[in-house]
Amino acid sequence: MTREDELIHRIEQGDPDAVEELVKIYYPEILRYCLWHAPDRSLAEDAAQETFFKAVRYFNHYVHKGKFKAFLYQIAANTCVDMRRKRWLSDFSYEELALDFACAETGFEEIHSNLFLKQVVCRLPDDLREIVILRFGQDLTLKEIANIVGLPLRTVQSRLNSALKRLRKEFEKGGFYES
Amino acid sequence: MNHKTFEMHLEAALHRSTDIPADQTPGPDLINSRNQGHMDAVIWELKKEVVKKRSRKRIGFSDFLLLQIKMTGWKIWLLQGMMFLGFVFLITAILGPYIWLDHRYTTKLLCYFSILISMTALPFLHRSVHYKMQEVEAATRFSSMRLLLAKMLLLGIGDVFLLNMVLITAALRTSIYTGSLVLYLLFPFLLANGGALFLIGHLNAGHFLQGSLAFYTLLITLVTVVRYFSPAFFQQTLSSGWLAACAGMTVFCIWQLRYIIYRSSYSEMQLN
Amino acid sequence: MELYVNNVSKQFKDKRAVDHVTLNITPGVWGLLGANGAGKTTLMRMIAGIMKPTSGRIEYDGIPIDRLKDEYRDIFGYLPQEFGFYPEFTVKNYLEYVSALKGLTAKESRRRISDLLEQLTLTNVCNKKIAKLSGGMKRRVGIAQALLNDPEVLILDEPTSGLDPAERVRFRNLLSEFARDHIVLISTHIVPDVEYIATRNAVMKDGRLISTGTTEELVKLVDGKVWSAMIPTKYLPEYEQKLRIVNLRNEGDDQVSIRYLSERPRTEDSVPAVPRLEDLYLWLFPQDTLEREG
Repeated sequence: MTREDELIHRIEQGDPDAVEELVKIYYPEILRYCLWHAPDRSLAEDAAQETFFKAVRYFNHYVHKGKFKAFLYQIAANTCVDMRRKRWLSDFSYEELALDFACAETGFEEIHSNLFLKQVVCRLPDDLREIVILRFGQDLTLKEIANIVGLPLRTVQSRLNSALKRLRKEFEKGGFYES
Repeated sequence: MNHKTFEMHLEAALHRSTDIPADQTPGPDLINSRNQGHMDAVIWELKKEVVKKRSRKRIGFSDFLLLQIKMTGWKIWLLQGMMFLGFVFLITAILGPYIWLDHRYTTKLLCYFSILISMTALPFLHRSVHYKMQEVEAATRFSSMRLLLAKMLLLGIGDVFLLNMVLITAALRTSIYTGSLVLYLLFPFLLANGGALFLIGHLNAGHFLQGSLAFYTLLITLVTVVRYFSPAFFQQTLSSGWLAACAGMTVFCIWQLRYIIYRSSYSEMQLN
Repeated sequence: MELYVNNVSKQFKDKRAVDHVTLNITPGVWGLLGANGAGKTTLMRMIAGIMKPTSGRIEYDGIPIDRLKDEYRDIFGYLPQEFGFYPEFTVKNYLEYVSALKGLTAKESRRRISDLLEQLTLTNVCNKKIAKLSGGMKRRVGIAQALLNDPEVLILDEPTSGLDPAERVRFRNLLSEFARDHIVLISTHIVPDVEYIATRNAVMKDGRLISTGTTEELVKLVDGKVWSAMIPTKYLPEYEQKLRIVNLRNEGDDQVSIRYLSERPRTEDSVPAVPRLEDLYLWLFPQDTLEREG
């Protein structure tokens, strides 16, 4: 955390090298997040770039003390929503994303169960899906997730639980059992 | 199947889904090369932005205030000084030079004087609208509100200086109790300012000048009327009652100031 | 860099000046066309952040501008339709005054002022009192003020009114240069000023946005409605009563060539004419008199 605070301080002073370091830390996971919310890879890259761009621009709105990750994710979420609304329009639906995963993974050493899980996750209602992605796709803690989505920790916990329950049910219905 | 196992499955599934499939890239070490390429592009753009931002350093309010002193402050203080001299000259011309030593008039003169001091704010508050600068001013970083605050601070400095000068002179030259001198300088001043602040926050630009002139005229008339019908009014001392009244007026002024800053649409009102 | 005007309205006591306008403004020159009182100035003031919408939101890069506050005005340059100067100001004083209000450091201020004075050919008059300058020069000083903070978005409300034709041309060139990777929004009722440099236009009437598009797209709206014909000069007054004549030219020989708007041809020899943006404007705002060039 202190390393990050130091980088942030240097960025505020206008140090470009600090920006490079910060991007190297967060780029992979932000890109991964955008891939979940964009129709294809190059648009996801656009969204990721836009996210970092806005983060640097609107730095002053960031409240310090270790909440930079939440700040960054919030911008990523807003950017994806914004882009979906204005540019990607009807190109995008989570159903299609599910199908994309189905197609893309051929030739990849993909376990059938993984594929199935991804599709089921895609079909969750928006608020549940987001929490599942942030928790299991992005490895964020529940506290971090609560900061990002702006809900109390308890609500996040209960939504996650109900999402997991649903997913497990679908998983078992699909005929997958503990191997 | 237990919780833990299921969660592990989930994690595995959701983690791998965003990597590029093996058949689309030559080898595992190049799986990230596309990532790398784009990330480098992002870093490059961001560095430019950071450097650009650095050159966009902006000054804070205190520096802004100092600049305002240089540009506007001296005009304000010049006007206030001139008004003061004008007042002294006028009274001396009309009522003779001994008026200043005549105790019967001192407190009344102080009343008029403090109201007039408060009035010196008007030309500066109205200037922007009169010379059609208000839109350009509103569309800047500091905007109309902070410009207004800067002006009020500068006016306040001049006010305080002049009021104190008059107070000291009157205290030295007359034998009137200092508390009374303070009362007849402070209370009318607070009253006048309170009213002016109220008008600033509630009248739009088109009505402000007439409204405030009317208010000040009313105030001066009031003093004159009280002079003739209740002369005892001008022989008060700074009792606890009057102290409370001054405190109350001060609170009112602060309340109106806060209203202007936080609640009113001051910038927008300047446009009408 | 994108300005998104999202369903914005402004209600005054007695009228609705802007009525549910939605506009997505991307880099380039945008012309905002409309008659006086169509709501252009109110819309621009809201975009400039100096007036709050009654409903709707304006977003810059996806963030509402009332949240951005200072930073928004930082990237923004605005030239209002009516603007004045304190009488004691010289050109330099004025620019220094606005620089201070825009929060520029002393160094930045000096640099920008000298650059702009040169770009707008005002160096010779920099120590002259603004009140003594010509209309065109005053306008240039106004534009200089808008550019002081190196804005990304430039909003100009009727910037060319009062300028002579040569100045208008110079102004157009200046803007084309600037608009390359900036957003420029110009409102005008002088269509030719915008016709050549605007990449997209939006037309406003009675507070509502009635049409947006490139010049070509908008002009299509009057396709088949513009005609040219030759008529004897002596019949001109009669025709002026009957037809919406947009342009006329004396051809000698007691003949006058006219260009008019109509759903169908009204004289025998009428020939369809290639429509221009000007024609669209007059088709939409028949009561408005159009200022012509030269």
